[in-house]
Amino acid sequence: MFFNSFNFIVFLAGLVLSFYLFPKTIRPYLLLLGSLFAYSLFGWKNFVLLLGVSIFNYLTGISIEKAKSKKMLLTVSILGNLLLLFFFKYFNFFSGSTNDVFKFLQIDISLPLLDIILPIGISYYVFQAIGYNLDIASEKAAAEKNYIHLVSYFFFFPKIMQGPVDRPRNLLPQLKQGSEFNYENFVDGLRRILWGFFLKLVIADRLFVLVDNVWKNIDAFGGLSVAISVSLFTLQLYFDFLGYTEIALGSAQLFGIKLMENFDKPLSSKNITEFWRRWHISLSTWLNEYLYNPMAIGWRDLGKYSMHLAVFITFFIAGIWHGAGITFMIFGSLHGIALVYEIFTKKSRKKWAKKLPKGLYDFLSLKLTFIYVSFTLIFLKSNTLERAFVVIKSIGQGWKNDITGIFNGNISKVLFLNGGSSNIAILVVLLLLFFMIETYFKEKSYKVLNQKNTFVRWTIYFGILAIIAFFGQFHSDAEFIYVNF
Amino acid sequence: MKKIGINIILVVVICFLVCYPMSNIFNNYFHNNLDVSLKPNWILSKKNQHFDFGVLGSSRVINLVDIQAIEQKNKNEGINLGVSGTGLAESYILLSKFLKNGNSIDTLFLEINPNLLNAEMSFSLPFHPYFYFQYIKEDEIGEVYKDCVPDLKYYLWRFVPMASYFEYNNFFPLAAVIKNNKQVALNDFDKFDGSELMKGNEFAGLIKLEEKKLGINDIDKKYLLKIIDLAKAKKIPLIAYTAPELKEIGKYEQGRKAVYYEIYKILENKKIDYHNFSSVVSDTLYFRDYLHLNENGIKQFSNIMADSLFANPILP
Repeated sequence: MFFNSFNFIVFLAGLVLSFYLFPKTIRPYLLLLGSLFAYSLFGWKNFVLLLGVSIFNYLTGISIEKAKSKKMLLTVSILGNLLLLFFFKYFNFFSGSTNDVFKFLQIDISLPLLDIILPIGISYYVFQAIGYNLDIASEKAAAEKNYIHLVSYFFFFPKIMQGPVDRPRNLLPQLKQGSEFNYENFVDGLRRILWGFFLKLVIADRLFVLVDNVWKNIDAFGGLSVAISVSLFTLQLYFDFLGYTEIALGSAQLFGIKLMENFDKPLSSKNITEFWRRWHISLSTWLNEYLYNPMAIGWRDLGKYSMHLAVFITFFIAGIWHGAGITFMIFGSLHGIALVYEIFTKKSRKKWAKKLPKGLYDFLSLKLTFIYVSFTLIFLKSNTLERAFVVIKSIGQGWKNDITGIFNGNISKVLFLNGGSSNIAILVVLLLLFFMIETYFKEKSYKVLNQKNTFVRWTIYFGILAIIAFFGQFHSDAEFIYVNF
Repeated sequence: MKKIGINIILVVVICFLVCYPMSNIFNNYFHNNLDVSLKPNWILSKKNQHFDFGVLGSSRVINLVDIQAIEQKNKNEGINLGVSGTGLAESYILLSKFLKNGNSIDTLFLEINPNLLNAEMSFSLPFHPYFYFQYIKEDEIGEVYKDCVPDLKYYLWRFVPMASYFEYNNFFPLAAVIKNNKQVALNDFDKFDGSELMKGNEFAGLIKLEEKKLGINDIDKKYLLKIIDLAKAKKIPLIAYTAPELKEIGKYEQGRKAVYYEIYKILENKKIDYHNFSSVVSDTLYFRDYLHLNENGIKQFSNIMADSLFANPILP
């Protein structure tokens, strides 16, 4: 059951209603039942697997807490979780690559390729499970003694498909106490959901049409159009993921639960370091807490470049967390390289900043960061390396034809990517509106719905509802992108 | 809790008060301004016309039956009632509405094949709900909706004003209603009597398909019988036939032969004349894919159809 389905709305309304009709002590169990039901709709295999993961981590958590020497048990728990992730996500990539090497070396061995379907949310719940055990080992959190509560944490429906990668120490205590109804909190949750649907159904899925027009038939477009589509994919990914996150956080809020924020206006970042502080925050902070920091601390005696190596490895792993394949490795490496570069050039960039007018320096930094991020996302979107190179090569070709095409009345194809004039007009207006809102409301864009004047507030509610109703894409082929990671 | 309850009721009431009159405007506009560049709408737009023959079915009709070639050969006038990717339930609606609109046909040809009796498995969207929203309140059409879409969706579209138009806003754009655009969309269906023939002679190859196990779907069978009964009620002679297909399709669709046997039985019970042309063309030179002929194949098959179907003594 995906968030952009009618069934989800019915499910959510039913669950919220029953949640508050029952006494507080029953509510955590109702929420658990709802989560189990929602995840069971993805099939019994997914369900049993996650149940197995929760049992395994329940046992390892308690064992780690009790053990005097925690290292061994912690290693077992991490390896167990990683092995699962490796099997489902990376085994076929590993087999295929090994077979290629064997073939190249003319060795007559062939590893099997398995018919495996990636379980829904596995990348997210495996990282959460590892974080859970690491927290217990470092005594940041206690092991959960009640198995039901831990199941409730793993299955919690708003975050199961694509995060946020919330920490058990934040979420578990909230799940255990069935919350009281709080009007302000509840309404805020509804606003976030409304805003999330607007971002996903109206903006992201309309952008999808344009991006898809080019990526499905890249040979038919010149470099300018391909470059525009690559930039638009960055926007599509942002609105898609932000939309999902708003719905997830809003849904959790209806039950009085506060999930971790995942975005802080990432497209206003002026360098890649800042970008990762603002983009997919739950993942980047997870990587920082459980991967980068232990590495950087552990390797501090190895010399001044140990930190750079730790940064690169962290982002390389962030890359392969997104998927199995060389393109994901390149995506992670490109971000790792950029971050290492930024560490090296911190002082010289400061000098440049002083030499150039502030406005110009900020503008150039903003644009360069956006272009670099968009470039790296070519690898995230391309299924194969060949495909990524085709896209990159296409950007460098046919600019002359595109530019003459604009003057010869071919604007709809070159600039608007055959998206239709009404679609473009709607998108331009909405994107401008969104970025104005995001600039104005420093905290969160959805706060635009939180106006003090009742008339203005309700006008905005109905306005957004009407925009979703008339311009939302309810039968789009665009699924939530991060579900696939 | 009380405050949020009141607010939600308020939102629902305001939405209803706005959407109810709006749905009447939308119904009225889209009822009177069908986009006839879309085949179902083109069929629905036909009024008070007479045809010597009509051919009903899915893509194996709209894309493979060259009405004009048959007309030239037999000196008569026909209409192609086929719509791509549709199952028998939708074909039934189209035929029923076509006849209710005052049109008449002397003979109806129905293309039937095992995939039509396994529509959900064979087509991505065997019933296109958005073409018939303006008729959803009619019992006959409502029944098709109930059979072909989830109950929740049916009740939503049937009773919540504007829900259907919002869900399919790409087909029912607000801009069209505001502009009140009366322009009739350009279409080639008028020119080719409803056919949209496959172009080119390339063959896609004997590609591997997803394996399926075919059977008889009750809903598809129900609408096959309803089409037969409707033709009988309107006293239209009905002739069923199967268009050519490559026998290799059987490798991927288990039970195809058994379904054919069931089709014979159903048609025999109903005393319907049936012509199986499934293997009259078998060379891949004439095919575009397993189930569709290419341009050369269409020429070949149109001749066969014109010669054998129209030689039937029951034809007027």
